[in-house]
Amino acid sequence: MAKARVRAAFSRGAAAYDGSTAVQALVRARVEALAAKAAPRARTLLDVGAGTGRLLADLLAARPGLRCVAVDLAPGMCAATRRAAPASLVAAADAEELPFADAGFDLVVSSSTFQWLPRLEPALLECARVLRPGGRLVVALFAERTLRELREAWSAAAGAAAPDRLHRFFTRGEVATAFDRAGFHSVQLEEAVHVERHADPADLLRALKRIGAQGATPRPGGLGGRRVLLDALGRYRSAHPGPNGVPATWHVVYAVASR
Amino acid sequence: MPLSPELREILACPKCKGALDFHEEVGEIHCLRCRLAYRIDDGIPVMLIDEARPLP
Repeated sequence: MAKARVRAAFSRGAAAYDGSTAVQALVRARVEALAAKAAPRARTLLDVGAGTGRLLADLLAARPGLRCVAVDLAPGMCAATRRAAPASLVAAADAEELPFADAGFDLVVSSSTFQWLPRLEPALLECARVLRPGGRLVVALFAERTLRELREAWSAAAGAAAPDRLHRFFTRGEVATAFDRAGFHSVQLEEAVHVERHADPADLLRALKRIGAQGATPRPGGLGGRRVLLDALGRYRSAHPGPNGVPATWHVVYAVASR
Repeated sequence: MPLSPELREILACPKCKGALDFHEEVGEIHCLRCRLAYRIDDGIPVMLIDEARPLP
């Protein structure tokens, strides 16, 4: 997904992001717990992709003395971060090109952000660079099996030979390799799977769009793209009959690592 | 809204990671080494290389 597209989409989504997905709240709580355990005495923290600032607000509430810095690619999200956590320092920045000198932070966190990067390694190298030696990185990202029901329906509708128009999420193995290559050690990974229910597939697509994550949705392109999308949504619905709507899987990989 | 002194202290050029010159009166932050001007939007420094203005 092009960065300019990510930036614009998430700026538009800033207002809707928080109420939209319960999964975000679960991920945030786990990241906060992992960060508390990994770096209980951290004094300086950087949040990469701070989004609406909810994680930062929670971290600051738990540790009022923490010096918090937040960056997000989308200026609209930066404004939201500043509102949610007024004590934090906020800048618009790219995870792959952080605007900080080397070794300035004890703890770097990133929640629900890195899955949109085309490659993990450049951002992880930047996190390593701004961490002091012995500093900790805590990351949560959506992985491989995320939205697998949508992928299965899309594949069935488009046929095996059709171009893959869905966002490809990293595998756990790719996450592990990228952390190693970026020079982190004592890397600990864990996974969680959350299944949300939506009234129907169109409701899921609307929710994704509302949070600015339409990069995860199929991009109907070329002749017949719209027809394939409608076919895919029909298959999604009929693959999950029953009164409780359709499932949407969110597969989270958490990583804690030392610089 | 002026930038906080603490933010000015920690910001570096995202390209060369070097020190910056702050020109808040014109809403910009300059990197003289990279010849780039980063804008300040409503008190938020936009430290994005692809959105920076080249300095003459």
